[in-house]
Amino acid sequence: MIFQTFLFRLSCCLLLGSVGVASAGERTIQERLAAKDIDYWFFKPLTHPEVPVVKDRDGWCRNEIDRFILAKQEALGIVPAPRADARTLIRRAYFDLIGLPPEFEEVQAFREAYAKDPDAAFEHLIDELLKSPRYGERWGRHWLDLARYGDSNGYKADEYRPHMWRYRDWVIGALNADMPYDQFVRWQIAGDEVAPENPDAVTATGFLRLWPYESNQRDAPKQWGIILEDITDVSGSLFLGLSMGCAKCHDHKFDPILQDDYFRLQAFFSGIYPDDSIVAATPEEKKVHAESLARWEESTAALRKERDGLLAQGLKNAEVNAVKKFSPELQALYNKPEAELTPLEVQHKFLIQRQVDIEQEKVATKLKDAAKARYEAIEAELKKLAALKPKPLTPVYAVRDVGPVAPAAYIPDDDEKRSFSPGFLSILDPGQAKVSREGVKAGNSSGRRTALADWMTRPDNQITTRVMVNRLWHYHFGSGIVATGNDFGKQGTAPTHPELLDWLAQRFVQEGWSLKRMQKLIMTSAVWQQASLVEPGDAASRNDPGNQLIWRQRIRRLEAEQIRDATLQSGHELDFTMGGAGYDGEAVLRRSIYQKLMKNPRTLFLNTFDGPDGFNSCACRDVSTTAPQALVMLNNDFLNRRAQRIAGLALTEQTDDGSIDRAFQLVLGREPSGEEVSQAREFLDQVRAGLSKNKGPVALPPPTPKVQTTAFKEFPTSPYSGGSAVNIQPNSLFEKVEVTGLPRNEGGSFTVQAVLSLDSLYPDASVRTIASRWRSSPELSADSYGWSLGITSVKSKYSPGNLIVQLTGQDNAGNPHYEVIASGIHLPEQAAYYVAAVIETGGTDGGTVTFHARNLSDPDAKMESVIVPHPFTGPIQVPERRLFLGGRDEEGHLFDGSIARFALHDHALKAEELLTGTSPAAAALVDLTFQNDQLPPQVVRAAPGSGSSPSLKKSDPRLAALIDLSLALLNSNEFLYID
Amino acid sequence: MKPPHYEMARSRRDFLARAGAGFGSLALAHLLGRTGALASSGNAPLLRHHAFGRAKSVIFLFMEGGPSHIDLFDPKPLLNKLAGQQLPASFKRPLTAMGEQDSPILAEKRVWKQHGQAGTWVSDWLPHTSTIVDDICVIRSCKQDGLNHVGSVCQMNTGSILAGRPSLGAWATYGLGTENDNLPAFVVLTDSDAKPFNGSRNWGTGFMPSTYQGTPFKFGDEPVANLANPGGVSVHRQRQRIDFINQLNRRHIQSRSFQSDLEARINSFELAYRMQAEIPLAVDIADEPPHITELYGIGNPQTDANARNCLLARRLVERGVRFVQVFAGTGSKWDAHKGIEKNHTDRCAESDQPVAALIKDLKQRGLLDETLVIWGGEFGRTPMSEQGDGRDHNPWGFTMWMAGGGVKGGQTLGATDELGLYATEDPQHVHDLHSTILWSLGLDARKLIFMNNGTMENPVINQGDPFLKVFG
Repeated sequence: MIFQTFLFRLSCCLLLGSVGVASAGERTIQERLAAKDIDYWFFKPLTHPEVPVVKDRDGWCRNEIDRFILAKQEALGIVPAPRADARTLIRRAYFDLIGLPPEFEEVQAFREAYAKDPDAAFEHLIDELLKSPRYGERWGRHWLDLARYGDSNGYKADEYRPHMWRYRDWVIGALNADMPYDQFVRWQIAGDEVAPENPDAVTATGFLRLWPYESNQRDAPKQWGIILEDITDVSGSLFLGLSMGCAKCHDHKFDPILQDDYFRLQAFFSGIYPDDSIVAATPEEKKVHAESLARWEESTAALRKERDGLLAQGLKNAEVNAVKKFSPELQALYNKPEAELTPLEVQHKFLIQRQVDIEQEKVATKLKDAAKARYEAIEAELKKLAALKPKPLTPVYAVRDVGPVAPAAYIPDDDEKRSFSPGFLSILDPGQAKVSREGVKAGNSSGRRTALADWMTRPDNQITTRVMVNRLWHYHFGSGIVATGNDFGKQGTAPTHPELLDWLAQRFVQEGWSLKRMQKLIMTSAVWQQASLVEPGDAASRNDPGNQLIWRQRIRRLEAEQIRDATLQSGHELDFTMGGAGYDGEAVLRRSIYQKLMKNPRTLFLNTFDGPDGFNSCACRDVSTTAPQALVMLNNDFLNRRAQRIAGLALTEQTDDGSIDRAFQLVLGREPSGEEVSQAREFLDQVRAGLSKNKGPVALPPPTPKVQTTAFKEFPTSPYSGGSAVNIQPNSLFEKVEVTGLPRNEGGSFTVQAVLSLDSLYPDASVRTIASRWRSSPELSADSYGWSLGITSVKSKYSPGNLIVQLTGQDNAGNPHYEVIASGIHLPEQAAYYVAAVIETGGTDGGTVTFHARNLSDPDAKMESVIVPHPFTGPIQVPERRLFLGGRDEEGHLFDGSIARFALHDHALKAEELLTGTSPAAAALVDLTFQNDQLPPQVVRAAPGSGSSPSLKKSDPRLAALIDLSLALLNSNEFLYID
Repeated sequence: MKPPHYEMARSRRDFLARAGAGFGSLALAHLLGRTGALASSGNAPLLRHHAFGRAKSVIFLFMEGGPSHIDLFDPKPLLNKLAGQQLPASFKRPLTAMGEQDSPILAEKRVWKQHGQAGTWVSDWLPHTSTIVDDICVIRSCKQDGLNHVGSVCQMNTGSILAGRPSLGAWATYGLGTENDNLPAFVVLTDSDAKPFNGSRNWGTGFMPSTYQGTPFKFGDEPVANLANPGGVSVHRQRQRIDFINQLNRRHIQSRSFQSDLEARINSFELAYRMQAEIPLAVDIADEPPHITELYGIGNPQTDANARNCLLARRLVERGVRFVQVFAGTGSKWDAHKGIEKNHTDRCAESDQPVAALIKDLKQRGLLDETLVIWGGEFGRTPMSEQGDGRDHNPWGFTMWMAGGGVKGGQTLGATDELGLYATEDPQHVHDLHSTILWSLGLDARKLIFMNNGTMENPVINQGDPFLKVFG
């Protein structure tokens, strides 16, 4: 151990007063260190503790961890709790590993397996959960807390960072793949140096881009200093578990950390250059792209030259105006020839350049008159050639070094202007860090960050290994062995089990730095599997009332994201789409980790339930309990919608008792006790009584068809439908129908097919809706996302009878967007038709809608097909919007005609997979044939004139009472806490 | 606004009695963020540190965007003498936000008079403030570190130009807890739908738990987010819901009595229910007599928004709210980079009467001594012109005033140089101002400690001292 050697040398120095070889500066450092507690345990090398021998009369221990735990308890006469019951174990394991509750059926299955062979069942459970892609979504969130992740710049403008999510997705993917922690760290600190050709390693350096950024700060040197401080502070907390920030202005008051150490750490990072042109692509991809870009440039050279000419003066002016706002010194710096700039000046200039860029981006929009017209004409021309242009390579927020020579680190406003080279904590190694470009594969890099990463990932690094295993412990027990996970210093708390900590740290390295193996080890221990609901024995009450020695498991509250995800999961509403740009707001029902996380304001749940602020590294979420939380949980629309959904599911049971059972199963994953059933029944009665006292029972009004059509009619038989169809017509029995009971949502790419006959077009501008999951909205927001397949009206600007898809969703710029995608295929009236829309989103630019239509009443008719591009990258739906045939989740825009068949697939079907194709796809989300004059069971009639508002149904007393019951269950401590 | 349709609040005693078994005082303390709740992390705030503490509550009237001190409280005859010329060489050239440090000095067109017994200088832009000068202490030597709004507003509210720290209101709430269990301890009011710079970070808690964050109130049917029952849910039905939740949670806690936050959560529903009743009453100004609403300028379209906020601020401190942050000119409307004449004429007309009325009203109710009122923006404005007829940001020297809470009125303290560019006498950095504010509440800013990531944090980042001259 090199550290040991140094400590020995240092103690010699102290004993002997001074050592001749030390220079004056070094001596000062040693003197300064000597004033601190240099014997503090955290800086000492890892010890090699023997696994303690314990009496263990009850055979409690399951693995080595338990012997460390039990030894301390036995010494005080404390008896640990027995194993928790199966339901508790599975719920705890689910939340710990994937952040979601188990479904009732999963609990039942586990209980059965557990009854047969508890150990095997439990081990199988852990293995399955560790394999689940949901694992990375839970543990990724922990890492994002630590890394102070956010999707925006912070500060006033708080601009959105459109590619930051690629780092988030990288974290999730790396954890799912159980990337060894040493590599995980190495890539985040120095991925661009150690594996520049690996797009994932480059993406990982997004960690070094998470600082807040102020887009109009004119003091570039100060801003650069703030950025470096931010990286230093976070790295100190996250990797070293030390409050390095305290040493920014002076030697640490309590710990042997010198002010020099702060800047020695900072010097590892002082060479970074946050280059926005970095892409995550392999060399091969870059090559192909460059070649094809060159071809495009060649064919557009004349146009672009003319365009650039139009912009030239404006660009120049914008540059002058932007630069003018900086001090004369910085203006001079900006105007210096590149070759004369020092590396530090290059970094400062970068910050000025960004503000110039922002001004210059506005130039095109300011063109006037002839120039504007010509510019637009050129752009239109260029757009025609857009197909030639290669798709842009994946943009990422990453870093590279400013060059092979990195600037030193400086103390701001330091009169002595001292500069610092990279170095580790002086107490461990007072010399300069050995920085070599040997392992550095990037040509133009200093190698400093690689040196830091090498040191951090040394198998014998007592600092980083202890810090990380302690974090694992923290996330599995609600508190670390050192409770203050970001501060192992003297101001933090002392370790409760220092030997165990060191044992775990070494085991971690032996296990190949595998988080998952360590987690399995921890979770298969008796201490993790203990019950939490035991009263302390005498010895525990006397000696350890605070449960520091973990003689029972700790009860924990769910975190903000777990609360939101669990409420969605309870109603089976959670959409498991992974990755991609963050979605806005609460209306998109995906996991919370994929929410767009602006630093300001925060999301509803993060703000209410102690979410991290995105500025500081957060090692431990607070658990505050406030009245505004109760207001959110009782009154917020999001919660009430979830309750409504759960109530809707429970309502499918015929009796109150059945509904109560179902609601308990959905929300709490268990059946209610007899007492609970009778109390819940009483509650349902009370609510219903209260409602009927006020209003009288409200039921769906009886059907009042004004148009005398039959509900079903004969339909020309085809290979794709039977001989009858349902009439879907305004003012008829089935004005529109709702399709329920989909096993999952259709996702970002899907296929809608129908066999229908159209009776008339709307005379006004309304659309004859075939099928939709959408509610139009004048304001574009995530709440208005959705799709609708329909036929345009007589007055439509898209020409009458045009088969269209209306989409509202997130476009390629990350903004909510609405667009009509018209096929140009026109449907005649009174003809049996097959229609399909294959909607694909994703990619960086957008996707396509492929339309197909064929006249079934004309045996010679050919399939008409057309592909129309669109800018949507997804998501494009609000899963809680209901799926309707013949209308939308709002009033109006009704179909007029009959529908014989409807199918929805949750993926894009190829032509041969369509109903009309050679090998029709199976596994539709729903495939309905309207035969025998009755609606299939999944299809329910929507009341005539009913809009989206479910209020009519909500005031049905039986449903209303179940909504209240469901909401109460979602508000129960049993739901919000893990035993 | 709609009359409150909630049940009258039960008293806390009533509630305690009703809640019966299982109710622990620790749980309530936890819930209210009072003491001990965070003891496990070493964070247990002290109550008052020293005997001076006169203020129970604070009203911070935040003129967002930066009012011009040299046109309102700090007359500089030299301005008009040097108008049209560049800043004399004897002045250190500052780095200004918009880069027009070489623009000519802009004359001021105000009529200045001394007012009150103390002869406090106030310009004709603030005729109503002129009538309360004997209750206020003008501090002409404020300064701060930020140059842009974002940093400056952030520092004036949280002590740092960088994000991530708790707001002053959060610190005060952490230090002193609340006086009214049925209302949030820290309330935020804005005079329009615009958002202040930095938005909720100005009343956020940074690294502290969310217990201490400010709650924005607005006028209307739902003064606080999520306060109203969902559509179709009557008070009776809400009560039934909460009773059933309580039933579930009481059964749950039977085997978990050692877990105090479970109890706190049970009580949080009762508190929420009472807030649903109490908050609409607090914001309902219909019971104010005409002479009061007229005093503030309610009904006059120009003053109405600020008048309502100032009146509401009084009603809130009257009810024991600890800290009320009132934004006037929300969304940086005082930011007169050009056309300062029109800009400040409007801003002053909107806020002058309501602000003066607040002081008069507090005083006539005997509340002024226990309420500290602060007036000011994130910075002042430059003597140099910008865009011909505006003024740029001046964080190096500007004016704020304080009243009540033990402040000795009729004083003018500190000074700027001859052009009002730099604070020269008794400079008061934001940390000093915050120390002074907390001092009035009986708190010593450097002893108000919150442990975070191993760092002993305090509101003033180990800097700044109270400006005791303010208290005479």
